[in-house]
Amino acid sequence: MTVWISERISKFWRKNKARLAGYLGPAVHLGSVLPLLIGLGDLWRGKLGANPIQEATLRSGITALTLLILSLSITPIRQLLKWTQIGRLRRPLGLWAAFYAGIHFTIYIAIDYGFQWKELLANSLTNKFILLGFTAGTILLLLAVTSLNFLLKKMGKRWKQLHRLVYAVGILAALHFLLAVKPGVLRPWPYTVIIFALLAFRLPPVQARVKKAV
Amino acid sequence: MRKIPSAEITPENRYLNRKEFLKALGIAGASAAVLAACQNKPFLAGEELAPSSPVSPDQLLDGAGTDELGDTLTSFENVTTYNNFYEFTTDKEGVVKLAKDFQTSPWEVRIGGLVENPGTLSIDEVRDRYPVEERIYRMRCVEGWSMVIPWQGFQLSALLEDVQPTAEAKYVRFESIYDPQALPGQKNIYFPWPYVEGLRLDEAYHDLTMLATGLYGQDLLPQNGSPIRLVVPWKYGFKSIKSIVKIDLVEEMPVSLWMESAPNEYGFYANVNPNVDHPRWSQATERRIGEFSRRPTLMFNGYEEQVSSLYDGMDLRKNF
Repeated sequence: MTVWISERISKFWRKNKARLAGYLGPAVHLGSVLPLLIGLGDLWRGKLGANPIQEATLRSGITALTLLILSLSITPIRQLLKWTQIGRLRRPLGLWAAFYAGIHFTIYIAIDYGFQWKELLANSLTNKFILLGFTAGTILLLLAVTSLNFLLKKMGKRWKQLHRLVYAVGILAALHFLLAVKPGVLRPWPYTVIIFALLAFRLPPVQARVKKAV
Repeated sequence: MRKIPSAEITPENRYLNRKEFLKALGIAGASAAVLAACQNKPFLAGEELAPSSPVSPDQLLDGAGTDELGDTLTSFENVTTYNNFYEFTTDKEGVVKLAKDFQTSPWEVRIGGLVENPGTLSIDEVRDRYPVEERIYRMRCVEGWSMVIPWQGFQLSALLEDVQPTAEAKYVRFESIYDPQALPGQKNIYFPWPYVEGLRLDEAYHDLTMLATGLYGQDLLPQNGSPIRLVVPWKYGFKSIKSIVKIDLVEEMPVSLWMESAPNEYGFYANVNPNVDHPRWSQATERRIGEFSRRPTLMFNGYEEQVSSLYDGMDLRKNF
């Protein structure tokens, strides 16, 4: 019986995984635009709380981090499920992460600090978590800009090397979140653990085992 | 009332000095009788509630009063929904919901240590014994936001004069309630509960230092540290310990919960100081809740004139 069920499932999976990946394409865009719409709705109704600027900063940052994590999970999922078709979701997820990182940046620079460059510079030099965030965001935006097809072709091997920096972005973003809160605040930890697990998946010894198993 | 003799009355000359001092500060004093008359109603300085006022008291409640610098009061809504109270949760806007059913009656405060007259006061005895006055104070959180809050309370010095610290007493140590069932945040094992804070004796005796039992003319709500909390307006908010159950006079400098959790980030003094950054963020500016732009943070939170002499000759960078 169980064998029969598992056979049915695997048959269904083999037949439909290409189609499922096709549905996931629009779902990524729909799901990614949702936090922005909810945020704007809450802003409109005054539901961002007593400290709306901080709330908006936090939300945009967490959304960027979540989308980055999803983008980094595509390759492991593709490998483990032999689901080649979902590889194409990696780029839109990364671009949406960069989009929210851009919002996060803009809120901090334009709204929180009102373009007070002197204060912003002093802050990023003395405060480690701001410096980490600036570095992570800048790299991510650079990756977004160079994600255009013609650049991919033009840059060839160097493109791949450059885009490996997304791992650095993951680590920097997690540390940025960890250092931004008081010790004992647990919220950044799940993100940090997941990011490090996803990066560990890329390590050669892990990869060797995965390739053997799949 | 147990053990604390009722004969301990503030000498009149000292009382007058205190009154003049507060007048100079622009703090509106209010007698207990006025307060009782305003119980559960919006409460502000008397003149502003004059019947000729075209604005109803309800409209006056939020943001109509100011502190001595002319800063507008933070709205009652924001003061009672945006709270750092890790005993419930580290999510500031989640505290109000979790604290909703917190029982603060009956409540006792034990006062002891190096004192002549140790004792235990129920919260009702505290209310009977110490008439409250209104004080509008700025509150600056170490995280970089601030509020202006109309407290009701009494000077800690009044209580200290009653219990009579002995000659060896150098510090006051405060302790919050410990009850992980009622305060789920105390299950966070990162922190060495219960919450502990301390003041040097001269800081504790300072006229600005108060024990608050109410704000905006009402009894404190659980999220604001009911039924009784400390308010030390020239120090970062975390010094103003909430829901106090124990006050001890001690000889050694108390180790606060934050000093124990992160000694390189939170010191004993924790005076508001725009020139000494937190190791991980700047303290030069702050966001006043309800305002759009950041404002510069003031030395000792704007109470420099009143308190700076307490720290003469001290390296405030070292004693952060």
